[in-house]
Amino acid sequence: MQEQQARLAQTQMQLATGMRLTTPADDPAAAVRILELKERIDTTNQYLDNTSLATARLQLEESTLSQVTSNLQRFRELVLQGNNDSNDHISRMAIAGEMRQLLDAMVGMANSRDANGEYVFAGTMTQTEPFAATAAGYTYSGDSQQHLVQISPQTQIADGDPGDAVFMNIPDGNGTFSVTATAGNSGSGVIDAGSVTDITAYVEDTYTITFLTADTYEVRDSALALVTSGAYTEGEAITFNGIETDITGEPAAGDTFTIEPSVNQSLMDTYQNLIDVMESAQFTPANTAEFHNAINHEFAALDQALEHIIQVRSPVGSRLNAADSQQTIQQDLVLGWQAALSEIQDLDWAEAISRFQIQNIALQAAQQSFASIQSLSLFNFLR
Amino acid sequence: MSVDLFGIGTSALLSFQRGLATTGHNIANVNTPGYSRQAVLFNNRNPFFAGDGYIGQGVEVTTVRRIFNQFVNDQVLVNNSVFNQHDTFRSLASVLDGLSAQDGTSLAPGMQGFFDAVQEVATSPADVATRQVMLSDSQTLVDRFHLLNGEYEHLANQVDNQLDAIVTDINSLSGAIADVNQQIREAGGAAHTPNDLLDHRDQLISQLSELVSVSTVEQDDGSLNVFIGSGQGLVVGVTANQLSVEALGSDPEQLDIALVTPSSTLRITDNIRGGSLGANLEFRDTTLTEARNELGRIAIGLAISFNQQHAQGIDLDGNVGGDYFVVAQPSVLDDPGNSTFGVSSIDVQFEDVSGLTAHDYQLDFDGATWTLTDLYTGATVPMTADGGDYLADGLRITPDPGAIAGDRYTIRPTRYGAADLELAITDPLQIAAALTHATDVGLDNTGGATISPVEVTDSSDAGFFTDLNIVFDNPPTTFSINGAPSQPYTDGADIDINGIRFQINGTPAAGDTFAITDNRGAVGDGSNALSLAQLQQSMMIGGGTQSLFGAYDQYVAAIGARTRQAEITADSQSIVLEQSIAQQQAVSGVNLDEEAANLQMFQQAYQAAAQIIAAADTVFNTLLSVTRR
Repeated sequence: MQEQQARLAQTQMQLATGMRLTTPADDPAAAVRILELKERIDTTNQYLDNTSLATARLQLEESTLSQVTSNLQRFRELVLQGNNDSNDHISRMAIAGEMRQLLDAMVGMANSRDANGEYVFAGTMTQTEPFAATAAGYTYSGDSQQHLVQISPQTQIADGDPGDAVFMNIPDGNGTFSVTATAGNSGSGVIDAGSVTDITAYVEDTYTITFLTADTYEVRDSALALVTSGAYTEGEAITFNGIETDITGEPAAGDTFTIEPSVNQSLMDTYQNLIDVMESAQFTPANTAEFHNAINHEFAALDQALEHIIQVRSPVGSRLNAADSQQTIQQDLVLGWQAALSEIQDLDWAEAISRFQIQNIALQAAQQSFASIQSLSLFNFLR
Repeated sequence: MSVDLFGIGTSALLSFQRGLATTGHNIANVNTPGYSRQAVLFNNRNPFFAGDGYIGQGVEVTTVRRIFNQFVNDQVLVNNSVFNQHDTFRSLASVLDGLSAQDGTSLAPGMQGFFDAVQEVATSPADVATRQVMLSDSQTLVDRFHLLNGEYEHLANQVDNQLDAIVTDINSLSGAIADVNQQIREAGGAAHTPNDLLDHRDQLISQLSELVSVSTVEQDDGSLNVFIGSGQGLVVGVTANQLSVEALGSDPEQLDIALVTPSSTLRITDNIRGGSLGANLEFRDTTLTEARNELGRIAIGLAISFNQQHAQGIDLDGNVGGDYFVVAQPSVLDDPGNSTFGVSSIDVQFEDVSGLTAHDYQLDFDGATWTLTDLYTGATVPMTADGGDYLADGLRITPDPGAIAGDRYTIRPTRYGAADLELAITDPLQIAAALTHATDVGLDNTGGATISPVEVTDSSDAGFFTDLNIVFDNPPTTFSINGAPSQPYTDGADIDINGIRFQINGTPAAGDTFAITDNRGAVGDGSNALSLAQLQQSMMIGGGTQSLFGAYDQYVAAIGARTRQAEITADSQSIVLEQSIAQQQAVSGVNLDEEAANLQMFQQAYQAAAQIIAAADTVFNTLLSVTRR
């Protein structure tokens, strides 16, 4: 009877807690499995938390870059508009005014902060404002590191991009070389940004195109060796060493144009340079050519920047996708593990209740039979 | 002739009186524990030769016999000891088992919360609030270790108190047995056995067997010698030896059982088997000790590995990470008989966390060589010599220079691992979440070489935070750091400079550059915190086979399995005990129905015997009336 009572009490305990196991001794192997599953579920929930934070930051970066793109596109429109010869100085000053506002907005976006007050585009130096204007141009005070977030046992993703990769390391010119018209040119020749027609023939060097007369030119490299020379025809391309460039207008004798390898130029500096050019326009035929040359030179950098921002945005999108799909995977894993946990540790109610009934009846039977057997004794019959 | 009849009648009356008395005694003692039923042995008296035949002289009582079976009684004693041992062990083990089951005392939630907090810091390293949470979760984990360890110490104290109580019981029982031996010896005579005294003594021995395994040997004078352990005499004749509880070994807190004879005090802790005394000793010396050591091992594994990784990072103050946890020291006990006791001793340090076990060790010196024995397995542990020290099982042992042959030391590496674990940091800014240095591949590099993260080898180096610029020469088989003379390049080889170490892997091109810069100020870098968080999965202990959680899970399972084993054994032993008791009762127990029948039988016999007297009287009177004048 005592044994039956003990077993009945055990069943009662199970019914009261809803758990099949009350202590590890009830089923040591299952107890270990339960601990393992709980650990996995908890750790994965932490990964899911991490993923939410990373996703929020990436979305902030994405929306900021989207605004940067709109800003760039508007700026580009203004430059094209201002480049048009139908403008006078006053209208160009007005355009430059809007360009200034766009620059301020751009710098604000580059220095933007998240909900914690940390700078988004400062790399890992998130408490230092990254971009500042100096006399020598815009400087970057952050670093080049990416912050990684653990979103699954095997995967880490970057939750941002350092500011120098986004705004500073943009090649000027056409990405390979940039073309400059010397400031003192007296002719009206306007040179375009040029392009690389044959990358295998391209020799990286600084080249100078000098007009010996209004109709002849020669090209010399940095060692002053002659590369090519020819007669100038407006609209006809000048080609050498895989490089092709066009000059329109009428260059004067002594005018020079320089072709040099691309260097990195920050987006803000490109903006600032264009604003400076836009505000400085005077109106003589020579100065118009100078104006257009200057605009062309910086415009190439602007196009590079636009291309660059697109290239920066695309991995952000794919990281968001990766985080999203990883989140789904981890959530499914958690559900699976919770189901397994429930199977191991939760009580099978139907089985427990029917067991309880049987044990109850068995105990009652034992008690009743005990009562009737105990009363039998020979002494009852001896009078 | 009638005289004979009177004699016969009287003998019958007396004998049947004895029978009735004995039956009455049996009935009266039906509920007395340890009572063996008694039966009267009748024998017919020697006949009288009367020339024409042997005339019977009636009946006499030879003796009152005690009905018992020595073999069955001994079985009950043995089973009693075994059952009590397993039952006591089960109740002790289930306390341990219960501790690991409840979330309030289990270690797993504490560890999980701690590592989650580290993950949070890795995700938001510059956020001071997140760091504060990590510190408070760390303190919670430390408190959890202390709590569990405190419960184990409490349990150990309870066991020690139990030892005291049990030994007191044993001593009073052995005294009582000796007294009964005395009484039985005085009762003397092999012809008649002092049945009730024998029952009393058996009862005392049965109570004793619940406490400890005993064996008995009967002596010629009727006294019983009682032996415990591996043959140590507890009761010898009329002398009762006492047991005492005292610390006899190197550890003043470890209580031993000693047998106190008039001539000596003998330590018998290792010989005690069975009964609740055996169970308590076994529980304390195996299961509880293992549990404390294992908990300590987990604590030490966590603390040392975490500290090592923490020292690879820098904190928000720009300082290289210091110790995050205070690690316990291995416990060393000198044998009081050592020549250098109180003067000098060996020194034991943790060398390699993954080699640590949860066992205690004994180090012996024989004058020339040091031998290390694993006290749990009993096996000798091989030690490798390393500069004057010895390395074994994750420990570095520095021998005692003044030791002589026969000196002995007890080493308990992880015993206080959980008790002495503490948090060493109170300022959230001191959590080293960032790496000490940032590495960059030059933007204009044309080769495909990469640079590894920087590892700290010596943070006290004067040039530790110096920025390094690595430039590959033309041809790129050599490189120069900060303009220093060029050194040859080997793909993947360690480069050590200024207290840091890194590798460059792959094939660099001429002119390729790599930069290593001081990372102070990079408050948003959580790379070291990421590495700290990944320690949760790292297989850092058990020779590289167990993670922290894995070790804890196995430890819970081991306690659960041991408890389960004790439960099953206790259950089956209780059945065996019941069966042997039933057998004993079948032989020696009083059956009321049988006694009732005996009562009837003796009553009738007595009445019949009374009629014999009446008949003898009638015969005598007849004789008298014949000869009356």
